Amino acid sequence: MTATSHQTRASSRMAGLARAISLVGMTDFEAIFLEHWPRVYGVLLRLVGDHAEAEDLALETFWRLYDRPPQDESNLNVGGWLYRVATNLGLNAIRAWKRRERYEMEAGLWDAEANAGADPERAVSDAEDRRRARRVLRELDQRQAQLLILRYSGLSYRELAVALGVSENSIGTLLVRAEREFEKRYRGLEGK
Amino acid sequence: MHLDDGQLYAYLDGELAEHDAGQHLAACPDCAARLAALKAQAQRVSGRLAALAPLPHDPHLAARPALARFQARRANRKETSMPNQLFSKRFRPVWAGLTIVAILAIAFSFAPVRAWAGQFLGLFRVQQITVLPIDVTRLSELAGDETLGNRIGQMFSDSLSITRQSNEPQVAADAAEASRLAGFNVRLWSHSPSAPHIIVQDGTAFEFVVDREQAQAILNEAGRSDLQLPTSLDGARISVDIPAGVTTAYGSCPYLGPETQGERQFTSWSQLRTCVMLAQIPSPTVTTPPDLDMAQLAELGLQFLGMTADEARAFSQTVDWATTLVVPLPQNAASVEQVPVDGVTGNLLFRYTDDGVPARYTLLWVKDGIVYALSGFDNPDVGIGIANALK
Repeated sequence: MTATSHQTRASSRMAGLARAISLVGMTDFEAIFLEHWPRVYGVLLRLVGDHAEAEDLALETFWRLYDRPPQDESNLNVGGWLYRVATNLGLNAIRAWKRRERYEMEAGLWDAEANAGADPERAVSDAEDRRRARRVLRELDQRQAQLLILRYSGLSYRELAVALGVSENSIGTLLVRAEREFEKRYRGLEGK
Repeated sequence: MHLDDGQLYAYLDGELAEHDAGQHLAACPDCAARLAALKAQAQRVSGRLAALAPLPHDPHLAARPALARFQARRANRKETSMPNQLFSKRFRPVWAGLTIVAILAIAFSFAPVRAWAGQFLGLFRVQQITVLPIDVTRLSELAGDETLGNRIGQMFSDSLSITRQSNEPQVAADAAEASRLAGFNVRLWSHSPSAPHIIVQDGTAFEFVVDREQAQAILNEAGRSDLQLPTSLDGARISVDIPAGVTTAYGSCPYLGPETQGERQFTSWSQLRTCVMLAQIPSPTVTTPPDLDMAQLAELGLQFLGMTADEARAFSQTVDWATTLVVPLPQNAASVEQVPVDGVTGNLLFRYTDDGVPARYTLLWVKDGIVYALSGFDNPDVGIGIANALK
């Protein structure tokens, strides 16, 4: 093997990697963390509803950014990347709940106990609403679920487009479809 | 032309770029009706998802404390990774993968293993380096084992005697001064854009008398009583002589000089990314009793590191234990590849980014009896270029 052939091979192998790493340095990382933490954490808290789990997943999201930063360093893209990863992690987490949820449902627990302060009936019905919304998100197409949760967490169309890798012009249409699907499934659950 | 659902929805959200949508809606009852239906749907879905909104009394973890937790977790992940643990505890000032000292540290952190592994045959001189990827999963499980750590520490304090103490590292102004201090011809990067920081680390020598029983107890403690040390090992006197070495730092590197006002800490990996370090040291020499069966010990050592008996035997037969420094490299931690460098064949170790540390490489080669290690971040081609431009 000649030096040249090695260097060419190594160059192409390293180029992407080196670029990826050089784009998000440590100091930049801290700024990104502070800027995006509140929303990433907020999105996850909505999805999983549990502080400890939301915190854990949010930290994992930033860990992945730290460990394997995306190729494009612009703030918009880093944000989009974070929301995509966070919602993927969150949706995976609530899918993994299935078994636990069934157990809890049978045991009639929910979080009614914890919130049974002033209005126990209301607490039970709120818990039921949350359960149903999460169940629909969990069963929706991943992209549709991500779109809805991010949209209702306050992302702009532009941010949504970057997070999901679609064009900004298509967001309206995608949202209409996702809401229709959500509504159809939610109503399907209401009878149960 | 009518507005489609997507446009109507974007209009609702104030995200529609076109200006005449309002005008069109005023004049188009069909579009207005569809807009109303979409609005009703959006409100229903919004209401249902609002159930997921955090309650006002919910505690919220703010960004600053979250960052602190992130950093703690990062440190934690680092701690649990075996090579870092080895570096952080016993070789704190030495940077993982940055210097030959670090490479020797890997080797010597396995010192009890190495003694048995048979690096040290007769008069051992490094003429070549073989990097041996090893699955250290089992071994890393032992890293947190305190009893084992204490036993190893005890064995060293019992059996190790320093025969030549090393002095504080010294700063050299140029290659000539470094060569004079270190006692060999020090080479520098001829095209360096800035003056390098040159540190001469004094040599050291020590002797190690093997207590077979103690060493076997460590193996047993580690759950490897299947590995039985030969009785001939008992009382074997192993002498190690490490000559003075020189470390040259280019760019923004961690401080390696004499300790002055405590330790200086680097602040971020992004600062370190420009750092390239070259270490050069004449081969250490190791003297062992001539009757010690090094190949046998080597096989035991390799098995301890994680190889099967067959693998260990097969590898051991390919190595001239008298002249080869075997650097055990945790599998998956880095890739190894042979590359032409400085007129000889070297080993390029490339470690992908992990633990939050950027990708880094170490280039190892031996030329004219001097062991070289050149380490840096990101692109190994830079390192190869520097190695080829040493004068």
